[in-house]
Amino acid sequence: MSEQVKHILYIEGLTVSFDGFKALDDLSFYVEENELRVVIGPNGAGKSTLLDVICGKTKPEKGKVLFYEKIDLTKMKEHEIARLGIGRKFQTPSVYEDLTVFENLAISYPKRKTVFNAVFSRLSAQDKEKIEKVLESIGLIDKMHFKAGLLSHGEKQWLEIGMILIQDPKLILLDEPVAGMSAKEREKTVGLLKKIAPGRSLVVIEHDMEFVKNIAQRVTVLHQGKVLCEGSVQRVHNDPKVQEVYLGGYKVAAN
Amino acid sequence: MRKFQFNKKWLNLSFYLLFFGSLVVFPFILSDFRLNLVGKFLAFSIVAMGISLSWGYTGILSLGQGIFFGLGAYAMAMYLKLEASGADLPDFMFWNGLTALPWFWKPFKNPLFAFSMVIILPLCLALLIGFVTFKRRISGVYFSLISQALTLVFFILFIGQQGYTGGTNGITDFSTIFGYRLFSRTSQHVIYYLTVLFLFVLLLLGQWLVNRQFGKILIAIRDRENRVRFSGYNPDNFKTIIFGISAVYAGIAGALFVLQEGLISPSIFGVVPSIEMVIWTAIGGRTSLIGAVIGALLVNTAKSLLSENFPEIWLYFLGLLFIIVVRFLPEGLASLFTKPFSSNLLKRQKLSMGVKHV
Repeated sequence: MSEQVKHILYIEGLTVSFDGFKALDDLSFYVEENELRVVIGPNGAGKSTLLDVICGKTKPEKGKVLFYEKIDLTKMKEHEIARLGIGRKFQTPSVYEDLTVFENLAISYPKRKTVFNAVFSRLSAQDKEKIEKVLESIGLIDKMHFKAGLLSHGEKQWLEIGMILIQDPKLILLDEPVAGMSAKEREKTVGLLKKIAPGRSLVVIEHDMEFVKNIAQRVTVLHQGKVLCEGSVQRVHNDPKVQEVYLGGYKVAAN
Repeated sequence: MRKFQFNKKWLNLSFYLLFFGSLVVFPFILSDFRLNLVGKFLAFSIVAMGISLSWGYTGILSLGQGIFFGLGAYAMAMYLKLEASGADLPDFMFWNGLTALPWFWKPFKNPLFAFSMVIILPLCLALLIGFVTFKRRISGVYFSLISQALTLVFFILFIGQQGYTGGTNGITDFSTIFGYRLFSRTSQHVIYYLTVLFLFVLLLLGQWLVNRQFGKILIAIRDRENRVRFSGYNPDNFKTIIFGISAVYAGIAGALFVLQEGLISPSIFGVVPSIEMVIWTAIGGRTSLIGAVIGALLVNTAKSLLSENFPEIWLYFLGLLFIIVVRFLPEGLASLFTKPFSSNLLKRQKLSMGVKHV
């Protein structure tokens, strides 16, 4: 490994339009290895679109999206990007309600991705051990045989984080992981994210400022498809431009 | 809890024993006429299992299973017709002015070729359709409409190409197989048991498939296709394969049907029969293979009893049955048995607010 800072995600000049509306406008965005980045911004700023482009759901009009500075993600399909080691968590919990918690994780396990393997191979004892380890870290080991549809909102969010975790990705994209959670659940999620962060990069979209303060190293503020401001939580918080657009012009009470 | 599961296992096992046990004794207690009906209904059950795999498990609602049923049936009928015609040209070709056997008919003289075509033709066509549509991310109701349009295309094609397919009349008038009389009591019993055997083997195969990781992925694709992509799977391949498998089920069913019906014509595999096939599956329970089997048997039995007694209003019965099941038992009759009754009632209430998947 070289000493030079390496970007796990290198995005330059990214433009995405939907029927003429520019969701992302010549955006540049860099994430270093092992970095935890939080992206904030008002509704329609292009946060989710950014994640969609990275994981291959949306194809950009122009711009570079490179993984480890060399793999061009814009040319790849979703499942190929996932296999590279990029995990995505959606805004609304996306778990398989009709399968058990254990099966949800077993499906997400990074082996047996072809039809042939899915039919003929089985989980080894080692695989099961790994799944149980993840179950423990997301706190759902007691509910492993429950159908995922029976879980609470917070538990579904954790399960989805677990489904990404078991892929052992290098880069995790999380879209509003604490939305709709109680204070206690939020606290637990922060703990979980802190626990899984070492050794990988995370890009988290979040509105909840308390959560952002708790977790972020660096914050990027998006506005109208562009980066408005980037830096430490404190810096972003005090930036007058950010207060103008993101906080609706209201001055935030100093706290 | 454990005791409950233990009981459930025995309950299941005894149900299957009872079911296949009665199928085995039917030839001894039913009249030849009734046995022939049951045999055909069992063939329909095989189609329904295929629909359960593709629709119930994977969410692919094909309104074109009749095409595959028809292909299997025609492949079998072509062989039977050639055997019946001997050295002569099949009669309908002669009437249509053909002077020689078309090239694609020739290999059907060989029974092994014909029997393998029963599987290969539907499989290849389904893989092709699946490949073209699923790769382009055509799914849901759009896929259903395309499959229905294709059924109509095949229907018109088979009627139009009279000299090659027998047109509206289809392929009829064959009475022997391997030199034996097709409609002798013994032959029909053998064919009946063959149908039961196929039903049994294909049921086991289907159960095995859905219990593997493969089956879990199918359910995952049905409920959240996007999530599956981001877990590193290519759902297009899974959908294409399961659609191919469901087509093979329909093809085998078609061949078994011809052996018991003694003819095949476009009206047997057209648009309306294709929809009926889906209705059998919906009524029995699309997410249960045995449910689909029971659905096909029940609906067809009801159809034959009711149409014998009330021929004019039979279709209203079917419509009513369909509405009742969709309204109160969206997972079909099978859900009465597979889920605890109380939670079943609750779920029914919830589901009836909005159908979960098409």
